[in-house]
Amino acid sequence: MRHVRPLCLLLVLVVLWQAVALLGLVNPMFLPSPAEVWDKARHLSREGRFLGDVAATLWRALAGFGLAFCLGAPGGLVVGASEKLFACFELPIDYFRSIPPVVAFPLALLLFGIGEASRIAVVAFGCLPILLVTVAAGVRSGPRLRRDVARCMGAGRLRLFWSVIVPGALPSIFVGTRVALSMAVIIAVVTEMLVGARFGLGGRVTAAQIAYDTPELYCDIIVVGLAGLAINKLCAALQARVVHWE
Amino acid sequence: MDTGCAMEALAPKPFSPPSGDAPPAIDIRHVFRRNPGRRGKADAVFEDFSLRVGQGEVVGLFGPNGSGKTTLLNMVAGLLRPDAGEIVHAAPQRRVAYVFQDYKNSLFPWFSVETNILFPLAAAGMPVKMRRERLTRLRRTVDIPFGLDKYPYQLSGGQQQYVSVLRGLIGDPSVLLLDEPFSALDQASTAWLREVLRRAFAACRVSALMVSHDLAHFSDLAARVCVLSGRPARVAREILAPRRGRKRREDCPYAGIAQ
Repeated sequence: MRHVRPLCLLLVLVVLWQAVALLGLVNPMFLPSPAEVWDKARHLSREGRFLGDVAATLWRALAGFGLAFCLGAPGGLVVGASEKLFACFELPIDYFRSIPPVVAFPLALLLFGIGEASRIAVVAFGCLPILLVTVAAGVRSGPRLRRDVARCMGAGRLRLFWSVIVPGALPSIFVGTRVALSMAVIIAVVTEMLVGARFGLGGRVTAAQIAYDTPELYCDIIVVGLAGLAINKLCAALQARVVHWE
Repeated sequence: MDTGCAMEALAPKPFSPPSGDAPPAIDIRHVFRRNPGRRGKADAVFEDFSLRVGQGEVVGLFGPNGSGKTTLLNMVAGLLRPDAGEIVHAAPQRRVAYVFQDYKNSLFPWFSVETNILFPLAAAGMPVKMRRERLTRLRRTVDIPFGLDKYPYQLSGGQQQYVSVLRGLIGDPSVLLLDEPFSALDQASTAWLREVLRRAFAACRVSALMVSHDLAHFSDLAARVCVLSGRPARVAREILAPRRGRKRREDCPYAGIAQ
């Protein structure tokens, strides 16, 4: 039942879009009709190349995110749990968070070459500070009493970390993951747009723009959005299962 | 009306440790403690303060806000040190169990009730088999009217606070400290918890020191209530609780005391 209303809204939007296209209110060059876009999408889905592009973009986003997660989640836990480490790292993390990751792309190209490594590195560079900040903040905002209780009952440092700090930070780990994954898709697409990758949605969008293939452009935009939405919903479902107490 | 009897119970009693050969579970001897106050001025909370909790005795602590009740519990728990004087535990090898007012944040919501109760034993490194035996023994001694496989958030507030008391009892503590255990609960939960605690205290014969800002909370639970004065705190008077049998609040022997 709760899915019905958003779907109705979507239907209304599509009908409106079709009406605008039919009445010729906007130059069809800039706004193809939904029917045209749908035809294009059906055509593309039969084409192996399109799926390869989607897969390439998702792979870069996920690989970069995975790398950042392996460093960022444990790093955030440790930095958040220690007052001294947090004082040391707060400013550097905020500094790196303020750098638009794409700015580092040319440097990554020089360092890692024009292949996959440079793109994945930039995605990881963009995701890492997000994960560090959210996870560390999550550890710090958890109630102190819980840690004091555990210590009072004789829990050692390791037990305190695994039984109290890590589960307590799980909600914020999920929040960080969702924000970082969205960022990962954005960065992956932008790096593909900047320097031609053989595969990838970013390169596809640029090529479609040059060819004035607006139905293709719309398709690409819609697919990127759907991919992001799917990732987010998947994370939310996993979060609801794992973090059952919130 | 048994006014005479109630008056007798309310009359100030000289400080008298419970008689018997067994040493008191907790012996607070001439404790001095200053808490850091504003602008560097230390604030004397306790000056020459003495109190004894006998073996298996439940002592209530009642006093105005800021009279140092929690400070006293923290000192008994070893979280704070007295500046002078000493606090002697009859069984220093046994742990002190502490039950906090804020049951939501003192339980671990990601663990089941069973894991929560067994946490102190796990923290002490006790093997799983022995932990299970302890739990079986606890279940035989006290009544646990809810499933142990539940999570704390599936229980009512009173039940959650009972879980944190059970978590204290499982370690066979030398003394159980309860800091305002009822103040985050509604009236029905408080009544339920008081009843299960009364039975649990009787069954476990645990020594306990309980803090509350409401004298009615002590009736049927505490054998003796120490009324603390303002700072520096001292026992202004002691009330020995008459035996049970009261049901209405106005029948509570402490109801007439205006602090």
